[in-house]
Amino acid sequence: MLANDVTSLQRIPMFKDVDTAKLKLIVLASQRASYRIGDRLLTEGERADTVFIILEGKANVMRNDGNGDVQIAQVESGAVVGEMGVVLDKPYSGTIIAETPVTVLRIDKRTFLDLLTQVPQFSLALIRELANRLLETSNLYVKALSR
Amino acid sequence: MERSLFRFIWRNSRRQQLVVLVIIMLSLPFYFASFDIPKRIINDAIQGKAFSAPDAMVRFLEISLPLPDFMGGPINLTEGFMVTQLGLLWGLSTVFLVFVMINGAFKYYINVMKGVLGERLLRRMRFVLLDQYLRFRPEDIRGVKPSEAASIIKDEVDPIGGFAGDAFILPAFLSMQALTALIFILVQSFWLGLVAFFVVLIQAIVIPALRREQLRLTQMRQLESRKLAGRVGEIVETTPAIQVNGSGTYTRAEIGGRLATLFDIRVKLFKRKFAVKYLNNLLAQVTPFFFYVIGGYLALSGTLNIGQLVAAIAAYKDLPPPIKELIDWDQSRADVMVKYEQITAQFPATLLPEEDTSQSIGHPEEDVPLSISGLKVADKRGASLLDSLTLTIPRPGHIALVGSSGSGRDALARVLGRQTSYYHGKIAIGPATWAGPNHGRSSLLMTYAGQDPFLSSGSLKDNLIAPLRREPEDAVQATDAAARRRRLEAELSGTPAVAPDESWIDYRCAGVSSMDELDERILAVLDRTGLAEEVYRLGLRSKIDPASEPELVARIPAARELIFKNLAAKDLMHLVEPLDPDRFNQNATLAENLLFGRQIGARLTEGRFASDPYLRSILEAESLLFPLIEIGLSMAETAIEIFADLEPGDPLFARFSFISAEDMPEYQRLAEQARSRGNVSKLAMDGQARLIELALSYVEARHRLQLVTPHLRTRLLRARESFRRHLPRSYAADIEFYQPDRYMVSGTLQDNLLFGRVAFDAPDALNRVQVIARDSLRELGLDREINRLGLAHEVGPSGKFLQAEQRASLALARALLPKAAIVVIDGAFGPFSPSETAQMLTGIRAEMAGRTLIVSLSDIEQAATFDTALVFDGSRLAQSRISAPGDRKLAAVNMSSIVDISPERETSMELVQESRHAGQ
Repeated sequence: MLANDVTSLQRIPMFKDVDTAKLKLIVLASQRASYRIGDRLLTEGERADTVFIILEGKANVMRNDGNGDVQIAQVESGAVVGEMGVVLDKPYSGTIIAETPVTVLRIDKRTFLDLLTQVPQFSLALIRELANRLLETSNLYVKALSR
Repeated sequence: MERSLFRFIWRNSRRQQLVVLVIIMLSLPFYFASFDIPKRIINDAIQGKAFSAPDAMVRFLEISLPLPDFMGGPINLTEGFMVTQLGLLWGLSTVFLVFVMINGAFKYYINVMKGVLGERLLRRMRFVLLDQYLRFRPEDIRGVKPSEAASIIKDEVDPIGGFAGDAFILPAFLSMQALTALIFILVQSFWLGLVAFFVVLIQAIVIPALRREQLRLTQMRQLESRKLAGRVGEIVETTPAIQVNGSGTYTRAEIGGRLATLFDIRVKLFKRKFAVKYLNNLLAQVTPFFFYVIGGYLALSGTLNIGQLVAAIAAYKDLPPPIKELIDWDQSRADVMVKYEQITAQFPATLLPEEDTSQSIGHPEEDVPLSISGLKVADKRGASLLDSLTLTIPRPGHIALVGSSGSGRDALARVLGRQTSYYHGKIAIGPATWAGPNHGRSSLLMTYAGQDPFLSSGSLKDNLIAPLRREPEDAVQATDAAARRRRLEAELSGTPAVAPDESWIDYRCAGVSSMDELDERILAVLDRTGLAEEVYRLGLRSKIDPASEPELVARIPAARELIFKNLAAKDLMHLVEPLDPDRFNQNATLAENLLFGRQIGARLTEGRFASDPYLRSILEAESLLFPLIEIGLSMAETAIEIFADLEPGDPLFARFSFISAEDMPEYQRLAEQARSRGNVSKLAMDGQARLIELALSYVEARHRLQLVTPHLRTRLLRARESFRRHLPRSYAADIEFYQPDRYMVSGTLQDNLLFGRVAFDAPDALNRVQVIARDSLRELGLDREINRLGLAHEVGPSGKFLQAEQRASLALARALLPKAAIVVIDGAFGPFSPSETAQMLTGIRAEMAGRTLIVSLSDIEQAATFDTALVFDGSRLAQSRISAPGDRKLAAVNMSSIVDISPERETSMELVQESRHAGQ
């Protein structure tokens, strides 16, 4: 199982430059958990105390627009969610609900922050992921402006 | 504390010293008489000088009081009776024996009195010393090394206490003894008396002179020992840092150097001590030589009879011991006086005033403002920490002190929290000033939570209720003789007469009237500081003795049934894997699966378990030995791969490694050996045992190394059965087997409630199970019991058993528990994230509604809703907004130091008044 999870992480682009030993550490320090269809992984507004790495399955990202939950995105295998709330010490900004059976690695806040400070390869991977997201958002913004 | 030791002793034991001195005086006639009787036995009874003829009789025991003629002349007390020579011998010998017994009884009584007197003074001195430490100013006490203070109170005063009993009594007693013996010898023979006198004189002059160096060495040794104690204390406290920094070798060398110094001093001491002893013995032995020569000559020449010579020699036998003891006493005197001076010299010139509850400012009127005038704080080098500050803050209200670390914010918070006493200016509430802290009732007025929580050994509750402890006004009167004696002895020693086991809790201080209400308030306060949940969890994790909690234990089966019913109702049964004697539990360790129980005795403890012959025989019989060694090896290799390049102090290492940092090199060696030999069977027995021990700690669902095959499970279950069936009787006390109908002493309350293991692979399983358990226990009215057990959790020395966040929460709750008029929170949120701080602050402010709360903050936004906000830039007050609570009316403010306010700050702060400091 640990070996399988490590293999799953190796397939995720974000972790492609992280050593196998460090991936094993990430897996060992996390909890493998399964969610059924419709289960909530995390809820908007709740204290962000866990980061999720999705290994299998798909989940919908919902956000309350004042009139109810609206789907704003979908995440699937390879996605990391909940990390912004943990890093910023802010509540989760959205709700994530399993669209299919989902398997994740759950990393509690303390362990996640320890991984960031103690494992530079992990921090770099996360920075790269956040930078990619920023770039995508900027591109979307530019596109929206040019319309 | 008295500067002179003798004054201290005399002032505190004068009456008792005089009583003993009177008893000594009373003993002297008997002592003198005991010298005279042997002379009479020899001269009158043996040589027959009292008898005119062999069959003559003399009067025995004729006792008269020799009064002078003007007082009526001698009075006959007894007529006595007539005895023969043999009768006189028996009679005088019997009288001699009686005097020996009387003298012995006097000695016994005097020694006991002396011992009690010394111990009483020692008790007083220890108490006074601790009392002095409690009155150190906050700045001074920070400079005291705890281990040195402990060494002083425990060890260094011990000889002083021993001496205190001898201080006046011993020299009086010994001098009189020596003088009696000397006078007796002089009465018998002037020349023998003169010889004895000169020998005594030489001893009294030469020996003390030689001992001066001995004294100097003793002082040096005391100082070095104290330094060693201080350094050892520091090393123990900083061991983790020494390990991480790799400075252990230097530390060992440093301690080695200190021990060498102590050794050298001791060797010099031995040499000097035994040289003096040699001289002393020589003088003592030379004197009899003179006695035999001179006394024999006088006897031969007829100027001294044999009885007198024997009596003089007997009396001389009693002369050197008191002289020697007097010299020893003099040495002790000089020794302890130096010790006493060293102890008193370490106390600072100024201490806090003594507790005086009569002058307490108590609860001031709620609306009396806090006024600060001309307040200045500087550090030891004179650098300003807080510039002159004058302002008036309305009360009650919530006051935020905002600024960066080390700014005037911290200085003001420390002054208001009475953590520094070196400041200029005045702080007052109405007519009562802030100076002169009154510890006796200070928590009624103000409580403080700072960066360092300052926790003591004891339970969470012990720490929480510390500010509620007050001397009971209606202390229970001592009824039995033992209690009365205890109280009298406490009064004689100057220590508190009220025993600590009486009811010291002042419920009114917390706004409650009983222990039950106090428990409720404690939980409410813990909820404000985010510790209530943790206390509940600690309660669930506590181990209890069924004999002391029979009612709780009796209710466990019903609670378990309800918890599983509620889990089933919510379709959450998969969160707990029950312990089943016929099934492998993948959320339990292999050891638990093998034993279906827990090791409790010394025989099967960690490190000895895997090498136990019985366990090994079972593992061999079930062909489990090598599979387990292989599992241990896999675990070791995985841990080496993952953790070998992490620092030993790395938090991830500490939390997730299967192997401790100290054991890592050993497992690396074992893994290399296994690889090079190609087969684990070739490993040495102790290496195999270590790997088996590691394997037995493996939990399939948690570690997820896929090391447990179905085949291994079957064999483990078979071994479980064999282990129990063939267990030797002598092992019965070393293992507790799991039995659903019996309370497991080795397990926690949660283990007993669930009789299963929480699933590692279900999301947030532990929290969800605990929520359901809590609801179920509440339904049964058991949650109060769980909280009680949680509050009884031991925090360890300085709270070391708790995490930093828990310590901080506990300190905050302790400050909130008494309903103090003012609560100062100064950097106590350090271990918490901003969101946790904000959440906690909301709770604390709700708790402090209607009272005064002073909080130091670093984020100006957090101060937006406070009634008063004082913003510091360095040591200067840069901005302020002062308003009454609720309506935010403007209040008087007079600041002597104000600087410009940045535009962005102006938007968030309502500036009341600003003025330029004269010098800026």
